[in-house]
Amino acid sequence: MIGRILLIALSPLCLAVSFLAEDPLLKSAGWITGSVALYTALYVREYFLLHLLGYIAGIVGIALFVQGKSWIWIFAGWELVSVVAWILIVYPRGGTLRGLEIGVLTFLVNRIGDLFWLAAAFSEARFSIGFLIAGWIKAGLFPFTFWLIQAMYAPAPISALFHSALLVSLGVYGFLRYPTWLSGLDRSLIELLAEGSGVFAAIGALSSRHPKVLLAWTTASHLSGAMAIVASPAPALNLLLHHAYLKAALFLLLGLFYKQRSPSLLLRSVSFLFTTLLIASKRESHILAHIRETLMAVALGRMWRLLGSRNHDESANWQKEVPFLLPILLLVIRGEVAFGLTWSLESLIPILGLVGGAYWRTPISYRLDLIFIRVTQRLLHLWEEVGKKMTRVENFLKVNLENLSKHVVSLSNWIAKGETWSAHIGWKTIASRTRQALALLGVQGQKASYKEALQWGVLITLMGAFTWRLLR
Amino acid sequence: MEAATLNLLWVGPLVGGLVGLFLHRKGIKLWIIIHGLLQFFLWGYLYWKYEGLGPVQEIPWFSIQEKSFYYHISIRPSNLWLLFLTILVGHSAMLYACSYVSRLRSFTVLFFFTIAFIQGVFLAGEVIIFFIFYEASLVPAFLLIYGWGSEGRRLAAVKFALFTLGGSVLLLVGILWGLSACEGGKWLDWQRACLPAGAWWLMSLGLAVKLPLIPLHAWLGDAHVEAEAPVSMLLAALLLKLGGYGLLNWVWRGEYAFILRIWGGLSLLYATGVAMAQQDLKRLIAFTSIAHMGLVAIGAGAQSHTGLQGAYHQLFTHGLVSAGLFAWIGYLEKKTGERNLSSLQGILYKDIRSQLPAILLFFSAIGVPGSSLFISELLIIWGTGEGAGWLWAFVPALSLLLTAIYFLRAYRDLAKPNSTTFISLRSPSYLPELIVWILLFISFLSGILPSPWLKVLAHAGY
Repeated sequence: MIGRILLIALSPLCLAVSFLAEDPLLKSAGWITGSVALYTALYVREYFLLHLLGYIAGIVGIALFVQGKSWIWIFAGWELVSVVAWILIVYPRGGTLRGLEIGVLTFLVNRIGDLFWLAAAFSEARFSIGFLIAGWIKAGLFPFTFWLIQAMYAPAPISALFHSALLVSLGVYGFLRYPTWLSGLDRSLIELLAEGSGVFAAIGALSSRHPKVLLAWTTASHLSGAMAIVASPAPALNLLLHHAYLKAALFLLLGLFYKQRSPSLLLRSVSFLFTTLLIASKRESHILAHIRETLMAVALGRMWRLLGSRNHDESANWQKEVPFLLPILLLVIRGEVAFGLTWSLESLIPILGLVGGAYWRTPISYRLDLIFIRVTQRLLHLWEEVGKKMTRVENFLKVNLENLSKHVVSLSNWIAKGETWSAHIGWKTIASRTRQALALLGVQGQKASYKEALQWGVLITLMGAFTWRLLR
Repeated sequence: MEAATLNLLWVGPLVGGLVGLFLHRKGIKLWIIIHGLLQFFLWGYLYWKYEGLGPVQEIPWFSIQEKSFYYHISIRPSNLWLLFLTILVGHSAMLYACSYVSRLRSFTVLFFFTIAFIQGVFLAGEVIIFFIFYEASLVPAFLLIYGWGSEGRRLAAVKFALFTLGGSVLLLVGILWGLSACEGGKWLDWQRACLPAGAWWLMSLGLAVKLPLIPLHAWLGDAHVEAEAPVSMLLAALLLKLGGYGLLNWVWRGEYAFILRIWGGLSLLYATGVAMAQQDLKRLIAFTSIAHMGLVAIGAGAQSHTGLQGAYHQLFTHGLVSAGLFAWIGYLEKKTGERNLSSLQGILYKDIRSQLPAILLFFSAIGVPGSSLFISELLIIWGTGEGAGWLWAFVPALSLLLTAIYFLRAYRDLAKPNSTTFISLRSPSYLPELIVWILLFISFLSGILPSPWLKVLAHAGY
């Protein structure tokens, strides 16, 4: 109960951040986190504290990234969001094996991007392509969308916040916040690559049969659109943040669909309306952009159909859904007010696509991401094999060194035995001969053992050396 | 007063060891706490007095062929935090040992002596003094490995002695060669890159045994695995640092730095590869240490001040994290009697309280934001990029990825759902857990507020 209250209390605090902050991403992060926190308090039944801490850490990560004074702090923000996402993928579903495996995959793929980021940030020479690769991976643009698809295992509020608004947005926003990341890069090539990637992601969405996965593919496609126009900061920012608000709202709605056994007509109507708002805005003029947006609209239409077919109970109790709709409305209204749509005749094309998709009855199901997951797993396996080979070398070294150590120990034993033997035989003989000589000279001393003779010998030698050193 | 304090930093543990001879088990625990607090007080005083270059004590010792040698000990940017680390980890490990180690009196005395000599190595401002302390530290360390631990400890100790003594021979010849070329044996003389190439090679090889870098690392795996957990803490957190510190403080030289960079890079790749295939958790952590020490060599060879700063910082931060990891595995082993990953699968699943230190330790070792290793590794990557270009920056950056692979996979195995009987991993004594938390706290503190460390290290090496 306390966790739920704290989560509700976090909501106004985050909304306050959105008013106090100056940076557009931080503002949006505050608003989206506030809304998602409110939704989460109503949505989840356990792990309130985990969500609370995760959301706070997410905001801190964004703040570090946008306000960081040095590369170290900027990277800390960039990385912190990934770490929080790992925790929130693994634990809200009770730390299942699948969660743990997905956590490993998503974290590692993001770390590959970090590697390029670091090489780009911390070198004197221009290596901006490192930033591009890092941003591409972070934003989950095709062909790296596979990690984002896997991350959909997380509950809906986590996907809404991290996998549509905060984490993935950083990949594109970095170029807007720090324009030097783009220096030396061919912008028309970026546009072409991003639009091409967006088309593939839209095809991925079109061929998905799971609504949440479909929505993740469209996230990649949308962000590709933002990446394509990243050289023009204002429209790119507009597209990026509008998408963040609307997509977060759609993920939350999707969560509600999953939660409600019989979603009402109200819920389905609202989701159709919000989907329309998301796609029906004129942003780009590139031919690939038109293809991408139309494909994506058809895919989203299919999603609406897929959701509708879950249940046909028209008498469902819509009152239960109303409290959940409040945070969702907060997101949509803010998104529309702050990054208002520019409607035009061209907007009709995606709307028609959406309607067409909603009436598309042919089932399609193809996992475009599977091949990339297999490639990643293959690479991991390969590295494991390399590790095993190295371990063989290591074991070879170990065995031989152990043999060497054993030989050294046995050699020392032999030396010790030799020493004992020489003392026993050699010194004893010398001592007895000396005694015999002294007896011959008429000196009848006490019968001393060879050990005593040896001790006296050492002492006399030391004293002699000491006296000689003093006199000299 | 300052000179006396300086001397007490290494004489104190010697006296501490001798006092320990006359105490019983309970008395020893109390004495370790009192002694630790006194040492922290002394260190605090020196930190307070530290202004760029700290207190110095210099007494003429002997002369050979117009070269004078001194008993010279001092506080410098490079050793200030390492002295703190020695006090912290040394006393923590001894307290840890109090909870279960047999023949505690002898163990503690040897431990105190090792700490004394390690402090001496860090304090030494004259190369001969450095070597004397460096050699002296091997004896009690050897006895600690030889006398306490699992079945293979004796062989591991012999291997440790063979390797380190072999390294010492090279180091000694290198030092003598260096002395013939340099004006004297003082730290500042040696910072002026007076070492001839041959001496540089000999000293680097000698110290690389202790660091360790491949292929001179073969002693480390067994020594860490076979020794008792507190001795593993000592080895990973402090004894390895002697090699790293020696390399950075006495041998580091811009001209040949690229060799260290290549060597460190190879060591890093090899160690992460071997760690990937390990099932024994202790061995896994041991190879992680080799990988992290490879980063120190890369930082030393970065040919930039940031890289050098990062390498010094890594010595400190890795000390905290590796000690924490060995302490954690120590009590995991004591509780379950196992340290093999395949036998420990799912051990953390139902024990949420034990998951937290495990997550924090593993993520610290991975170098996530907030942990101290994050700062060191970033400084090393930054320094390498600055000094050697972006292609070279990839090599230390690779460690971020490769380390994450085996730690996350190990964590997955430990935390995955398991239907077997629930075993609480909470330690029977509060001390081991407390020690892990203290080490974690300081690690995260120095990661979140790195200024006190970085301000001091800003002057390191120059």
